[in-house]
Amino acid sequence: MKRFFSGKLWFEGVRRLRLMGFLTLGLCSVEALLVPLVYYVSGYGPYSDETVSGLSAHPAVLFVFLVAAPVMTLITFSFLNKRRRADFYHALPFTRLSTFVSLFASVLTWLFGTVVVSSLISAGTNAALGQWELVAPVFRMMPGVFAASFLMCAGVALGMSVTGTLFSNISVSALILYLPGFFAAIFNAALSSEVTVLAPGHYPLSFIGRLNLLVAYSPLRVFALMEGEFAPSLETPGAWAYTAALAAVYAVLAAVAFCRRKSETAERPAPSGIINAIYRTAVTMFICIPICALIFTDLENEIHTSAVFYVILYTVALTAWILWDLITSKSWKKVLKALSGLFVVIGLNVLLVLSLIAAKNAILAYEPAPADVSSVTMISDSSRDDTDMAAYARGKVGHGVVTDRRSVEILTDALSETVRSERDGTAPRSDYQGGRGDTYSYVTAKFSSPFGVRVRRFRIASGDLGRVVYESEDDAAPFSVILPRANFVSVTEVHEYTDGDRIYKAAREELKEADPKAWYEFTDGYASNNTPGSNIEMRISLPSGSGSGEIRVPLSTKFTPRAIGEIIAEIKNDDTADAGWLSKVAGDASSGKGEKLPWCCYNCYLCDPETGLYSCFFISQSEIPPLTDEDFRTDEIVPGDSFMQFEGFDPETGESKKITVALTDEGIEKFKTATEVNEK
Amino acid sequence: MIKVDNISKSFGGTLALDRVSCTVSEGSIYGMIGSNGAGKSTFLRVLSGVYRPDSGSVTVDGEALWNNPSAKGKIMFVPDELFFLPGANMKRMESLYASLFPRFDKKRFSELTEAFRLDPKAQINSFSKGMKRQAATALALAARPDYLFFDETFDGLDPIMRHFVKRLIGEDVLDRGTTAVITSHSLRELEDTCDQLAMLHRGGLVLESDIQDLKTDKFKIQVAYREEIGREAFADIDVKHFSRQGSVINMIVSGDREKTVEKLKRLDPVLLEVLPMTLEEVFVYELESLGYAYGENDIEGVLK
Repeated sequence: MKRFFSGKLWFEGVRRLRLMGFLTLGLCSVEALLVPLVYYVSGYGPYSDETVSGLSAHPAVLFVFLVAAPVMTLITFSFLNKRRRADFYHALPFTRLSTFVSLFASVLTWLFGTVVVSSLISAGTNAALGQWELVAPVFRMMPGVFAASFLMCAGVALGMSVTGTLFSNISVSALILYLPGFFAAIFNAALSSEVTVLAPGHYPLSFIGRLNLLVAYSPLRVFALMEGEFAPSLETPGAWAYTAALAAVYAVLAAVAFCRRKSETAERPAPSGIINAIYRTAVTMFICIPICALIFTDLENEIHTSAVFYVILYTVALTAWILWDLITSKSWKKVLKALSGLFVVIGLNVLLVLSLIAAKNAILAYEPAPADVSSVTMISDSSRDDTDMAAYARGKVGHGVVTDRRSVEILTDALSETVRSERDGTAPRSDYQGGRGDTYSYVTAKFSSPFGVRVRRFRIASGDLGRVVYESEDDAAPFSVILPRANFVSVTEVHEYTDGDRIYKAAREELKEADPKAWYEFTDGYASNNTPGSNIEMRISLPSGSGSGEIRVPLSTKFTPRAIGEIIAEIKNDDTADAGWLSKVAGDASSGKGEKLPWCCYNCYLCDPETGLYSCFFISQSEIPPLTDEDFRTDEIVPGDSFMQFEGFDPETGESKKITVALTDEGIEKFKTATEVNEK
Repeated sequence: MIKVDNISKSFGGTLALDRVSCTVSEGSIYGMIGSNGAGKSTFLRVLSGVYRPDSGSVTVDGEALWNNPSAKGKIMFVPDELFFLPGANMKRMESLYASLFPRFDKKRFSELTEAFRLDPKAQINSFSKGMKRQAATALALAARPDYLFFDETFDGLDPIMRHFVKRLIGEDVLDRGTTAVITSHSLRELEDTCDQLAMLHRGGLVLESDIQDLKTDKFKIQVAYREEIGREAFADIDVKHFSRQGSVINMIVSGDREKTVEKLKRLDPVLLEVLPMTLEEVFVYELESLGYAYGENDIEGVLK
């Protein structure tokens, strides 16, 4: 045991870190006390603990793994940077491994201890204040915080074990921790800009952005979000496992490097000139990687970015190269001597551009014949903001696996067509290109063939997809058609008026009698063409274990007239103030115009029962036609009816409002003739 | 006993130690001298387990030293560049050493701190160079090691403290049988302290001898003859240095004194005088014979 760990050395390490340790503990503990109090005083919540993130309950843990972890590691192993300190520690009667493990453990002790203590304070305070929904999330993210802290410490320890100055410590640690993620992000961004057939989350190396918690909580998170991928949170178990496993690998490498390290590396940027050249090249490539991506995009699109721009970018890269040498060697002679190494950088640049071209060609080379495909697994499309009803239904086809030959053929043909259009350069670049009336949509599926298993995203006609979903011989269960049993969350825009559960029940009853294929096409078209939240839709939360979180269900008089009627009735009956506003919007029939209205109505919308989408009337106050009581519907809403929504604000208070009403055909006609109709 | 067997160590392209072999006996004081950059500090770092030799081996009481806590636990190394925890005072260093070195004797440390008149509560960083070295010496001696290595031990100490430290080391060797290895530029410091003396030059061990033998093995001879006699006439004598001023020949000779005098007398000298040598002279002439010397031109160049 003594060869691997020394309690005395561990204690010395803990003691050495006491200033930084107590500062971190104090900061996190104060935050753990204050944040619950702030929520309590401001009346934050209540909400389901499923929807509260641990970070919102205890944000100071970010400080633990992003600031305290690297600083403590730098303090602990700083002896490696000074010869006399390194000599002292290396002369101690411990093995190198024991020295490393004991000191590394002392850093983790402070970090883990801080997280546990401050989390207990946070949970205790929340419990005392009765904010129980904030208790569990704090503990749920704890493994993630441990894993991220462990990775940060291991990466910095590895960086310090292979360098000998503070500058090179920090630079090389940053390269170790972030260069792979940066490379993957840029590589994928370049590929995705040229190859839409790649599905988000299934790019080469995309697992780094998806699973590495340090990359997720860095500016690189932007790349993941831009590509429509899900950045992990501290509560994602897959990310815990990956981050902890990566940390373990880095820790082992750090231990090996520490044990093999020569004491004389202290005060030198690298153990040898060759290794220093590797660091210098890596730093320069940090700048060159985006340039290569730009070159690739230019080559693929036959665009010619200004040569001056490239000269500027490569000058920045060359400056980084020279600066590294100047800072580490402080000798122009050495800088000049090292310039020959630029040929390696040039070679790596060429290699990277060629790799991107090769990757694109390899991706587009996958075009299996239908006969070769044994099965296709439908995958929920994460590029949509929420999981929509159509995606939910697709995922339920044969529990996602399609083996029916006709369906496989449809899907494979659609993939081939998408791949061919990619090769010809005729593929639409936008996910939702086409606007209203476009009957195509993008789906993601996994193809299994003798040439391997590949995940692809391809364009397919909604009708074809409907056939796959509802005519497949695979298990297309009826539950994919109706609304699943779920926890009702909200109806967008008008939720303050409504008894959501009643509307949800009404909608479920109505949809039981709906034509499955028509319902699918309606929901798929809606999901492809609307801006989430702009129309009346329900958001429902599926029970855990169903494979989806929250899904959006559009409401339309075509399929759910009774649910729409319920909403309108609620507005009319339950809120007198709004009903008053409604009558004012309608105007005073005797005056002929709406000039007396204190409210300014600037938009009104007409819902298309076929698509569930609104047409927008941009309207000025003076153009509001006078409405009479006869213009308002009193009879039951039936399939195919239209309804309207008015949007306005009170000029005195600035309060804005939306009102949904059902008008008679005559009432709607008054608006149509009074204003110019613009499609939104 | 420490056995150093053919160790080499290089830094980049510079060979710091070149196949050095020696044996340090138990309970002795082993002095090592050498020119600047000769490899003395590197030698001590290898002996302390700080550096791993590129080749060869070091054993302490028969145990391999490298990465061996058991062997390293017997050693205390006081390097030329001293290390104290940032902001630490003597008390803090005492607790650090007490936790890391099992044999650390707190009572002895208090005695030594008092003897050196060091303020146990003052920050060590505020100490003078000499006081820091006293502090490091106190910590090392209080750790009660079997082997004590001092690199440039007397650097920065005033004559009284130098004498005191020498006494402390001597007492430890006598009372506890400690073995000490001391490096220094100053031959005079080692002359009256060490039992054995070794000389490093350009990474190689060029001389290793008992101090008494060193003093008697080499001697200076002044001799004059009626006729002019060349160096070839002394071919059967081990002449380390030969110079002539007029008819007087000055030689540094190694070997048996009586036999050498007998040989010279056979040539019928008009003058024959045997003079004793200081260790300083032995050191200078030994290095000269290895080509390490300042010529007149070098000196003139510097003094211009």
